[in-house]
Amino acid sequence: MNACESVSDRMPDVLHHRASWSEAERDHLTHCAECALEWRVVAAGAVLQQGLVVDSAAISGQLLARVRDEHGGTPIRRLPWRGTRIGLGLLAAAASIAILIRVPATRRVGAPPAVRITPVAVLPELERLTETQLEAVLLELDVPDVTVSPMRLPRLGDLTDSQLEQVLLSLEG
Amino acid sequence: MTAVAADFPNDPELVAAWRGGDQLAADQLVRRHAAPLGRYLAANGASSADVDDLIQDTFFRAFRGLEGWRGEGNFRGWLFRIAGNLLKDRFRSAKGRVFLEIEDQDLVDHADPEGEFAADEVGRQLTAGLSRLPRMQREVFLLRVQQGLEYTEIASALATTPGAARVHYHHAVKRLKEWLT
Repeated sequence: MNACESVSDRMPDVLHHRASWSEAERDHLTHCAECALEWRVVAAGAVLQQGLVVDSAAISGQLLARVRDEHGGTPIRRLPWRGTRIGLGLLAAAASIAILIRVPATRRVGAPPAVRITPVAVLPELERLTETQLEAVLLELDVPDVTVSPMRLPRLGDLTDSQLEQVLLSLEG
Repeated sequence: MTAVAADFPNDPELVAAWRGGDQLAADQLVRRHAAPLGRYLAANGASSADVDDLIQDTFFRAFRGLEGWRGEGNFRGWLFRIAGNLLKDRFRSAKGRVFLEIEDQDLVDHADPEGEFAADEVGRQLTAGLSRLPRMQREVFLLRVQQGLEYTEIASALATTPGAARVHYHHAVKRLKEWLT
């Protein structure tokens, strides 16, 4: 490697402060027109776009937001949990719906039967009728037969003495 | 020494931290390399309007491809490789036109007006000359001179050999010298 090649090879290192010229190299650069020209070219190349302003903070912010938005584009380790969390969420939602569906049915079972209050017209004329006449009137009204609801239990006052004794015996053992 | 290492983690350490979910590490990588990357892209023909987008795209691709990066070569060289490919795609979509803008920052600052004028002139001629170089020669020249990479790093960044990178560099310098005289 001659002097020109050696100087040429070291130019980028000198420009980036990884090396410095020796006295002999300085002398060569002063007297060799080709190397002097190359030095001007390389020195100009080293400062190309040196004053370019890059907003690295803004780029970083936008970039990280973009990576987060990109599905599967981030190596963040929270990712494997994403599917599990979605699954758990769906399970919770399904459970809530199931409870909502069942709750009204439970309430219907436990709620007291609705009491239908029908207005009774008091007719003074009925007071004067005998029992036989009243029965005849009721037959004329065609009131449907009232069947006893299974939910309707007999009151203790309706029981006879012997029935009351049987109830007491069953309770006391 | 340990404290210094902790304060200024190197690129492989930051990459490992980012892969582990540390977003601050990604932020540090961007802040460390965005400006040199921007200078490289601008000198390589990217318009000033495109530089920020290209930097962001470069990091985006790099972060997405980290699984495939085994730490061979340096991270910065890998960024230059991605940036160069993105720029090539951009030129292709612009039908091969390369625009090299002459910016004030290209010009060397000197105290004396005569020297300043001469340096400005060299900067302008160099910028114009770079646009005439083949892509490989231009990129090798910029990576070697503007970014200060070694031939092995350039070879890794441009998917070539150190010997071939050296040849490209000398061809580039020879042509630029001819055009500047």
